[in-house]
Order: sequence, then structure tokens, then C-alpha cells
Amino acid sequence: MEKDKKAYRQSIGVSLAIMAFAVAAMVLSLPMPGNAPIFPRMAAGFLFLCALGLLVGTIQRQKRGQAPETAALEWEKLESPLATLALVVVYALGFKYIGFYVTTFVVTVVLMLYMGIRSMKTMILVVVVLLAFLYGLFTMQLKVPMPQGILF
Amino acid sequence: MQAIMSDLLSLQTLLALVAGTFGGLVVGGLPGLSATMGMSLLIPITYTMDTVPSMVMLAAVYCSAVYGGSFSAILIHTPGTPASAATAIDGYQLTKRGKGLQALGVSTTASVIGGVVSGVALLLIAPQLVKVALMFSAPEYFLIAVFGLTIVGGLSGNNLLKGLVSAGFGLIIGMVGMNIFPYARYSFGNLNLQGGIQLVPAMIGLFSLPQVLTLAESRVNKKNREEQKKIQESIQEQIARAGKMKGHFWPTPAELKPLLPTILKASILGIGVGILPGAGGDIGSWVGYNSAKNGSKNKELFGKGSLEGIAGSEAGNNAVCGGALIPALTLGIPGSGAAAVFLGALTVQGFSSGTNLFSKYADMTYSILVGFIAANILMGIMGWLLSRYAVRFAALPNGILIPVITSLSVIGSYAIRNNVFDVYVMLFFGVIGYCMKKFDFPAAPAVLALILGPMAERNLITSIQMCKGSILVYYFTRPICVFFMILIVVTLLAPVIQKRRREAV
Repeated sequence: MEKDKKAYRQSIGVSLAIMAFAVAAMVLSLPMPGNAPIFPRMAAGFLFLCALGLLVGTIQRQKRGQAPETAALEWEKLESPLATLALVVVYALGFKYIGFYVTTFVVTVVLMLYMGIRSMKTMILVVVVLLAFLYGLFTMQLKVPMPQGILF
Repeated sequence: MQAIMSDLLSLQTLLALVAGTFGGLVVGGLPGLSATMGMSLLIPITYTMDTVPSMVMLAAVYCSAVYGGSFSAILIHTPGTPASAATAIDGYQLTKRGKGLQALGVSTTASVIGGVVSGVALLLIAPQLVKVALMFSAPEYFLIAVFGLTIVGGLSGNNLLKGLVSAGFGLIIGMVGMNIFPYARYSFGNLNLQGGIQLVPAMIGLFSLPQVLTLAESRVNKKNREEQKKIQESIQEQIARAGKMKGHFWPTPAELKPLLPTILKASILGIGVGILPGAGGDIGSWVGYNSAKNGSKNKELFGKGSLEGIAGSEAGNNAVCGGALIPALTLGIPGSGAAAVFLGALTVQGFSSGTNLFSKYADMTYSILVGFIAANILMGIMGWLLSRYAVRFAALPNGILIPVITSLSVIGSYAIRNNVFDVYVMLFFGVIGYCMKKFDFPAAPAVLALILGPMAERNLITSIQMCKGSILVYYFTRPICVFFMILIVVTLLAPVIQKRRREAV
């Protein structure tokens, strides 16, 4: 029951967030000149109505005592994905300053350690093969100028 | 004909065909990864390749990944892709009885036939549909785009409204920048946003990064240690069992003959499902499975190890691949999420769907379509050679998959324009995509809206300029427009009416 209440609260929150996004899109279309705001307003109105429909449907479902359509998000289950996301963000922000290959090496090792890979042989193999593949394909073959940063 | 063969038999195309087929089998065989994700990650690599090899590689990944999902579905009861969910029902039962190799053989045969039949249909139907498309003008194209968006919102997922919300979100994102008007909409003064949101980083973000975060959920901690250990032990047992499979792979003529009508029927149904925007391999697989069951004289075997069930499911899901490319290449409306990625890749190469593909660039287009058929045949050969070993991919630890997919996502997003901002776009859509996944909002409608939205807007604005009066009257005086408007209303109302009827019963 508590879990159901939590799921409903989260679903209602998501519907309200989408409605707020649609309103923001509508408000931001106000200064657009000429025909430029026609489609944004149609799309924002459409999104608002769909989100309103979701909100009404969720509330009706809750009043009827039915089980929620989507299970509640448990924060403890989000711990690993959020930590992984933090690493990916550091990767994306860092490679411009530190250099792509150095950052890739560090993040790959950290991610493997975080996910429980302990075999040194596996870690070395994965890092070597991955870096060789990325270097061979993107730098040598496709000649993509990778950010070098302060190191390599 | 000579130009088509010389394009196809070039070294670059042949290498791309082999690499794409193998890569697709690996991606499809790994539970949790999908054809759409694999194709999104490949687009940056194909960017600097010639058009024919790059599109042939993507087509090969598409059809091979759909087929590759059957390996883990049959051998370890874990569909490699959603399109193999129906195959897992009967396939695994056969594996438990020591007939896994036979099940794989039937799956391979059905997939190859389904894929080849859909490739032939693509070759025959697409040029005819393009002639019909010549009758269309801006008003018709606007309504085709709207119809594509409504039907994809309805078919992708259990909740119509969630699909439509996803489509609405994609529509708004597609309007960022100066792509249609000399006014930078929703750019907040940012120079990078003035050029619009790049499709490829958005697709990589929506399909790949959420998968990385989902794989991270399986990280072993104090609470789930025992559960994860049991899962790993179970997978290892199943892999060991798969390695000891005996018997023949390819079905004998006597075994194949009774399966052929099922395979052909499922293939034709799969092509039809593929043509419907938004209906992907998963729906094709169930339609094929159900058609096999309905037409079978041995219905009691279904669910207990029916070769007909496997044949119907696999023919259906692979036939969707060619079917989905028919509206994508002719009308610009992708028949599936993977077809949307395919269309995105074609745009990156500088081409757009429609009559030009089948007239001015006919040699290139037919090379790609014949390459698609060749990929379906090659995937059968590779599947036969790799079948016993393919299941080992399923045991690949998430700790290896996560950094590999992450680094490909980051470098892939960066490599499109050598612009770090595209990596930030990928991150943003990755977070949005993960939230969408957790709350059951399908991602495919958002991608389709990113592609169809600008097409819809361009044609709406042109219609307004053409009408010289009331736009509504203008649309209602065009018979094809009225037909599409009725279709759109029916598509939106049908799920609501069906739901009310179910509740009344």
C-alpha cells in the first residue's frame, strides 16, 4: 500500500513536470516572430493535453483503488546507476581537458572496478583492446581529431 | 545492373557487410542490447564511409541483431532483443530436451527466409509506393507525418498517452534552432543550439546511455549478492549445457516442408507489421507466433517446444526489417525505431527519402537493398558457424559491457562534428531516456518525432502559404487529406474504445 502510494505520487509528479515543460515551451514561443511560433504552440498544447490526460488517468486509477501502472522508483536501486552516471559525466566533462585516451583509460578501469571486475588479466585485456580499437578506428582510420588536453 | 554489382562487390562494401553482420549477431545475442542501440552507436563510424557500404553495414546490423536475439532466447531463455521474446517460449523448452541445435537451425532458416522475402518485397513494393507518393503535396505530407506520429505513439508501449507524450517531447526538441525559420527558437542564446539538436547524439543518448545505467543496476552489493550469484550460476550452467548440444543444425527437407507454409505466412504478416510505423520486431514476432499457432494442427505443442512456434516468430520478426524500410525510404516515415535510425543515417549521408532515391540515386538505392538481402543470407551462414559459441556472449559481465558502450557513446557523439557540445547533448538525452525507461515512456516515438517533426512543420507552413484562405477548408477539399484525417482520428480513438469495451466485459 505504501509502495502504491509512492508510485502514484511519483506518476503524478512526472505528469506535472511534463505539463510544466509544455507551459514553458508555450511561454518561450511568445516572442517568436511571424509563422515561427505556430508549430511550437501546437506541439506544446498537444504535449500539455496528453500530460493532463495522464494526470487525470492516474488520479482516477488511484481513486478506484487499482494498482499503479508503473512501480515506484526505489532510491536504493538507483544508487549504482546514479554513481555510474556521475562517472560518465566526469568522463564527458573531463576528456576535453585531460585528453580522450587518458580519460577513457581511467574511466574504464574505475567502471570495471565499480562493477566488481577484479581480475587483473581481464582489466588489462579490456583496456588494451578497447583503446587499440578506438585509436585504430577513430584516430587512424577516420582521422577524428581527438581532444588531447594537458596529457595525451 | 553493372553499377549495382560494382558497388556491392567493392572491398569496402564487402567488409562493411561482414562486420555489420557479425556485429549485429553480437549485439542481438547480448541480452539487454538492441538493434537500435547498435545502429545508433555505428552511425558516427559510417559518417566518413561511402554511402553504400555505410547503409549496407547498418542494414546488416539491423537484420542480424533481430536474428541474433534468438540465440540467447533459445539457449538460456533470455531474449537477446524484445523481438525474440516469443521464440524464448518454445526454443528453451527444446534446449531442455537436448534439441537446442535443432531449434537454432529452424530459427536460422526461418529468419533467413523471412528476411529475404521482406528484402524482395522492399525491392518490388518501394518503387511502386514512390509513384503513389508523387500524388502527394505539402498538405498530404503534413498529415502523413502526423499519422506516423499518432500511430507510433499508440503502438510503442502499453499506454497510448505515454507514447504520445514521448512524441510531443520529440516534436518540441526538433524545433530547437534555426532549421526552418531564420530565428533561433529555444536556443537561449547558445551558438551550438542555434544549429539545432543533432539527431545522432540524441539517438545515442536515448538508446545507449539508458542501457548502460540499466546494466549498472545489476551491480552486486550486500543486498543483492545472493540473488546475483544465483543468476550468474544459472547462466553458466546453461552455457555449459549449450556447449554440449548434439544433433544436426539445418532442418532436413522432410523437417522443413511442413514448416514452409508457416514461415511464408509469418513473413508476409511481418512485412505488413513492418510497414506500420512504430510496430517493430517485437510485434512482428508475436504476430508470427500467433499465426503459426492458429494455423497449426498441433496446437498442444505450443509452449512445450514447438518448431512451428519458433519458425513463425523468427520469420515474423525478421520480415519486419524489410517491411519497416518500405515507408522509411519512400515516404520518410520509419516503420520501426531501427528504421528511424537507418533514416537518420541516410540524412547524415546527405540523402532524403522519396522519389529521388528511386530515380536520380537509383543505383545507390538498389545496391543498398540488394545488400540488405545479402546480409540476410550471410547472417544465416554466420549463425550456423557461431551458434554453439554465440551464447558465451550472454555471459559477458556487465562490468565489461558498461565501459565499452560508454566510451563508444562518448566518442561516437563527439566524432559527428568534433564538437564536445554533442557529448553534452548525448548526456542530456541519456538522463531523459533513463527517466523515460523507469516511468515506462517509450523512447522510439521521441526519435521518430525528431525526424518527422521538422517534416510536418515544413509541410504545414507550405500548406498555409498554398491555401490562400481557410487552411481547414483547404485540407477538407483534398480527398487524400480527408482519408488521412479519418485514419488519424481512428488511430487515436481505437485504443480508447477497445479499453472501454474490455472494461465493460
